[in-house]
Amino acid sequence: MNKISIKTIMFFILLITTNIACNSITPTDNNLNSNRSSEQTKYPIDILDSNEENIRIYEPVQKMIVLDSAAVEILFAIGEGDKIVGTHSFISHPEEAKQIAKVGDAFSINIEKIIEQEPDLVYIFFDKFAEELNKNNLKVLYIKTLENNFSNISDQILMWGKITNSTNEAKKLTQQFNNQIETIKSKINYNNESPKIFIDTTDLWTSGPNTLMGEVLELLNLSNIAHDISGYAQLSPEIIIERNPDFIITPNPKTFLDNPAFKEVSAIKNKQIFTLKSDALSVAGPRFPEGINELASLIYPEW
Amino acid sequence: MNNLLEIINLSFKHEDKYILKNINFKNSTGKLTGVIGPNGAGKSTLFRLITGTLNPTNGEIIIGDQNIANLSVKKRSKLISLVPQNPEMPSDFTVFETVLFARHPYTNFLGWENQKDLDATNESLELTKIKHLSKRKIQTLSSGEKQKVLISMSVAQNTPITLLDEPTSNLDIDNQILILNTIKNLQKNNHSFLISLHDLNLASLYCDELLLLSKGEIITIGTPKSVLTEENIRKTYNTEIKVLEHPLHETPIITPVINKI
Amino acid sequence: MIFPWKNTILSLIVMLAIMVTSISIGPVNISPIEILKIVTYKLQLIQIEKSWPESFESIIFNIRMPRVLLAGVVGLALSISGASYQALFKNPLADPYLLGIASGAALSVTIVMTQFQNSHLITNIIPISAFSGAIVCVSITYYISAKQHGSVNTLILSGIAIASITQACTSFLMLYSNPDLRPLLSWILGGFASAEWSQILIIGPYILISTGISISLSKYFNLIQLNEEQAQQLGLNTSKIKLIIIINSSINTAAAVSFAGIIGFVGLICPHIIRNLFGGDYRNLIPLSGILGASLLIVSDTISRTILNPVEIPVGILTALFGGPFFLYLLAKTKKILY
Repeated sequence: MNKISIKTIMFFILLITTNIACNSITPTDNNLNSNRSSEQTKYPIDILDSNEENIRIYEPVQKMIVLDSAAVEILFAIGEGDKIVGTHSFISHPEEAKQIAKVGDAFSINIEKIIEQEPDLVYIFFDKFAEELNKNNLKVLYIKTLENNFSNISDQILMWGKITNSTNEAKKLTQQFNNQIETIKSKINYNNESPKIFIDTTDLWTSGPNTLMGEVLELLNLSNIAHDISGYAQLSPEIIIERNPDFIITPNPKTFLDNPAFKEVSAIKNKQIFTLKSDALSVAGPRFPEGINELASLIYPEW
Repeated sequence: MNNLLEIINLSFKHEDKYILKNINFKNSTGKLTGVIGPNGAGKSTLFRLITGTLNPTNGEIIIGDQNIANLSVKKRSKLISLVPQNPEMPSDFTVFETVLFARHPYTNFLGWENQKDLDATNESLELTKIKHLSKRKIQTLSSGEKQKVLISMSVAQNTPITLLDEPTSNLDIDNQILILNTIKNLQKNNHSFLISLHDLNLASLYCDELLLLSKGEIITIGTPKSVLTEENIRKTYNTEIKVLEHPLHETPIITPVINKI
Repeated sequence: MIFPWKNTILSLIVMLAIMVTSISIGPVNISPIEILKIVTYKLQLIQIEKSWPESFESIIFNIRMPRVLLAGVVGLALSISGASYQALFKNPLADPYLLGIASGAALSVTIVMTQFQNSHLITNIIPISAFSGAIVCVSITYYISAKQHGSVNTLILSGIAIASITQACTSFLMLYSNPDLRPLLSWILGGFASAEWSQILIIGPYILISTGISISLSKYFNLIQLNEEQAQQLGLNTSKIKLIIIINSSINTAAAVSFAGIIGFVGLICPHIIRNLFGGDYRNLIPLSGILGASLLIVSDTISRTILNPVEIPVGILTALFGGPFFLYLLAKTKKILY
């Protein structure tokens, strides 16, 4: 009954606010590779969406609705943020993005407001509203982001570059992004033993290895104690005690510190329990390497 | 203690309107008194005043030598029992368990019954001739049987005064007679029954005494023969009837007359 | 009718066995012999060589034990308040979850959690605010149902309406007052993953006292099933008893909701099973369904923390999954009796 709806709500909130678990991008554009060298995008372009349908874009998109934090950040980073005419209520970054009209949240979209903006393109990362948008003759680009692969962030940057005819800026951003990741990689000695870590989102909910967060941990030579879960799930407290993480990252350290059950866990004993200050790691956008750096600096004091 | 129930100058006012006015009535022991009268005459209000659900505006109700206004709920429950009009009993209890409820006035705070209560329950089931039903669940009973369970409860409650509120309404004639025969069998000394009835012929046949109420006042009290006259009925019910005599019991029988308009 | 000592003691033994078994089952494999050793070591009955990792002690004493106990008292509370509401509404379909009472408690807890985020008092305020929410909702439901002379439809419909309203308010608060609403959401799903001894110390006394009151008043629960005037004639102060039931059961529901969130259907299933086995006498029904409720929730929680090892599933999902069909079955069956 109503309980179900709360669960659905929770699911979508988690989806939107913690893209840690799921947000990433699939390489979808067939023209992408062949056009790398050209400065101008040749229109029309075809983009394969997650329903295996080709979305054809005839000219640079001027007005779009973007219901995804990562995409908004990418667009601002390549200087096309002003083309976003509507987004969802959870946008936190960059500052200018807060001025954009809010046309939806996790549970609903305001279809009238969307139509009023006359967008050339509506971008969504879950297909709940796809049908409703299509019915109203809006061009919908739906890229399912439940699949993971954090290196694909650069591919999505390039995709946005093509859509907005800013290929150069997108390329520059991609370069910068990849460089940052390489720098991080170079700082890590993968021969060292990997410290055990538990990433708590809240109430012991955490991400498994096949998620973006899982990959971040791998990159930082950290061993995720939730190595045998799939996707995003609540870990048993006794498993946490048994696997004895050296580090715990959590928004509420109190829940661990106040609970006597965890007092023998090395992260608690050695006071290696931290809270991330920025939300960079929860948005799979251009700020993502920043987030990785923040996490790394908590673990490796010499970072 | 000749008069078990005595009502003195009883009045009840609701929103400036008298529902009952100056009721005076005595019931000596062992009598089955029928309360009759048209709808709205004040029958249920009279019952509610006697049970203490309502408080009178004026007047007193005396049981034995005690004024019921001064009695605690618990004490009153040992003097008056009520058979309500609508059987309302938990459906998954057995008949025995339900009748045992009526021993509540005699149990301690936690409400566990002793052997005496079990005996009293068995006895009342026998008296009301439903012993064979005692293990049946209430939900499996017919409405006549349910009515009998209610009567059995009032017997188990072992009070000198029992009020029966329309015990035969909603029943077919066979069950009506069964119930009234059961009540008639229970009549004994030191026990008064007050029964409200719609059916004047049943009242006439079974009651020792009738109390005719109209618009909150007593029109007359007396034997069925003296109360059920053509004039009294015309006055209170505002309708034409003929009175005959019962071929076996010599009680009056009331029969309507077809009115040509 | 004598107090059902035999049944009570027997079911208590079964419940204890279930508790011990649950403590020895978990995602981390600790053998019963080891558990026995650890417990005797802790109690210092005999000197034993310590041959297990420190973490096992923590798992048994600080995770499994408080968890099993919390599930037990919450099951007890939900089941007894379910049975009490059934007595109050003269209706076997009453349940703190279905009547919207649990959602009411959840709403006021949400208000407190969103308004006083960083207060240290919060754990102590939660049960009290849950109680005020519960009592408001049960009063509304009771008022509506009394007006309609206790019709089943009215009761269930008003429960659904109250649940929808309170859940809408809860969702609204969660969405617009606090950017980090995940703790709240996770709490609403219902479960014992974060059980702690301190929570048992806070809600345990409430539950034990109101359980005691329910058991000692269970005779009166029988009598209020009768016609109201007849019950009064049997020496029962019906309005006082009803008020006591409302307050008492709301305390129970609120205490259960405070730390375990919304767990549905326990209060419906347990009294019903006991009714089928031992009859409808509330003097049986209250203590036995309480014990059954505790056992059932302990078992459900054990399933919820082991079935997808190492992942937890909220126990509220499990009870709803099994309780929902059971409720439909009851609904189909009850109509026959009531009409």
